[in-house]
Amino acid sequence: MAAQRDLVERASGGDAVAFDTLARTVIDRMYAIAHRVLRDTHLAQDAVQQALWSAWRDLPNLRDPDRFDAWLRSLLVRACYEEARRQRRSPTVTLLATDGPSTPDESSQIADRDALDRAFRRLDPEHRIVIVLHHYEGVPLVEIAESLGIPVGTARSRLHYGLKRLRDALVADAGAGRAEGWIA
Amino acid sequence: MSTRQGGRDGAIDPRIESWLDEGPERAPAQFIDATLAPIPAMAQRRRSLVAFGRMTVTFAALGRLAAAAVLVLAVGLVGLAFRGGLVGHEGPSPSPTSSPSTSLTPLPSGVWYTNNGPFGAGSGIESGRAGTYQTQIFRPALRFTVPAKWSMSQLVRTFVGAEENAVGIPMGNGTGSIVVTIPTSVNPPAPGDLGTPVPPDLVAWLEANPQLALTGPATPVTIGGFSGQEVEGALAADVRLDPAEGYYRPVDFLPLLPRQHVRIAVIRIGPQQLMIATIANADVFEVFRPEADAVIGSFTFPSS
Repeated sequence: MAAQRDLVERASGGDAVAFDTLARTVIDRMYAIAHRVLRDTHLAQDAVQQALWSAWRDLPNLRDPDRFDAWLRSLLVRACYEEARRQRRSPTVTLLATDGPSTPDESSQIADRDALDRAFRRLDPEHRIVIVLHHYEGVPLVEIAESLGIPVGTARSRLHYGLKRLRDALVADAGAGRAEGWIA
Repeated sequence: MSTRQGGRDGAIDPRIESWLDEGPERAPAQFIDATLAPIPAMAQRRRSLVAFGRMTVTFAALGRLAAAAVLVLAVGLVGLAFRGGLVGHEGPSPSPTSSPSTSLTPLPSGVWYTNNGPFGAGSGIESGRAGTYQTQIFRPALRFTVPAKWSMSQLVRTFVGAEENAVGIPMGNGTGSIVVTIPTSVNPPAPGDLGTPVPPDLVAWLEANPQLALTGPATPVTIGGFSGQEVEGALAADVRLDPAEGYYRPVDFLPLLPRQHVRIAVIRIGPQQLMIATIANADVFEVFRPEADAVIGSFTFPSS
């Protein structure tokens, strides 16, 4: 933590090497989050790039170096929102890899993932980000609310709604699967 | 942000948890390098008033500060007038402050303005949208066409609290980048005119520069209808990298790393020497070359 604070302070003073070091410690996590929110490699890369460039440009205005993680997370969230909006304007179709014969169990897993993927893409980015930050990244709802600038109750509500939509998708998919004889 | 935390509220359906865990955990190395490479050339935004709260200010210092403020204001006004005059040459397009809520101002022709910057509209960074763009502040005005997935930014010379001048346009697609700039110094220790003044024949200076290992002599090139010369190569094996930055800058806004391959074209537009550098890691340069050539091939200089 002290090492990160030192890097943040040096980068804030214009030390590009310190920022490079700092960015390399966080970029994998940023990419993992952005990829899960946006479900697209190029969009995720764009979001991470924009967030890191914004971080470098605005770092001198970060008053508390210990808040760097939360601040960077909020920049990433903003960049993901922007990329998600672009994604909506240019919808993409993702094809699942289904090479070779698959067992019924594999089929049901593929169907589950496909249902989740479709349901997740239908969610607003505001709901997606809360699910990924909380259930993938393990960020407490209080911190998420702080990063997003929303009340904790709103964050909890978004999480609840988003998860419900995902669960509903699984239930609907199971029903459809039974109707089509996918699942024994 | 550097590690996953353990703050989840309750369990979720294991299928959802498993699905969330699927996916990449690491960013591609080339993407990381391409993202971080332009950082040293990007100016930081500083709120000068933040620092004032920490200062003990004497009356003498206040006097100097007031004098500096007057000077900065004058420079800013001249700069704004200068900018206004140049934008006026662009024809019937809206002024840069006419739509502050958007970072791009479309021209009637379907061309978009870019590099508005923090003192104009928008962030100065545009990303991902294929199209034809024209610089609004950077001069000479440059018009270029990029495919999707290219990002454009700006290199700025900053005077705290006053004008920012666009001194270059970096653009890239994650594999490599193109930097268009008019150098103001060579061998500088940091961004800005801190080094030796630019020699009248920049290409000859590059050819004779022992910090560079060029693959051959300069060859003729024509870009946007203007002729010039270009050289190609990498940093010399015994290059003296800046100990603080880790880069070598042949000119003020062109930081280079040892792993990179670079092609530098210099064309003359009036009295100015415009540098167009194509940069990528050596192992992917040939992949990037045709993509860069297509973008550079679209360059025009509308007001020149």
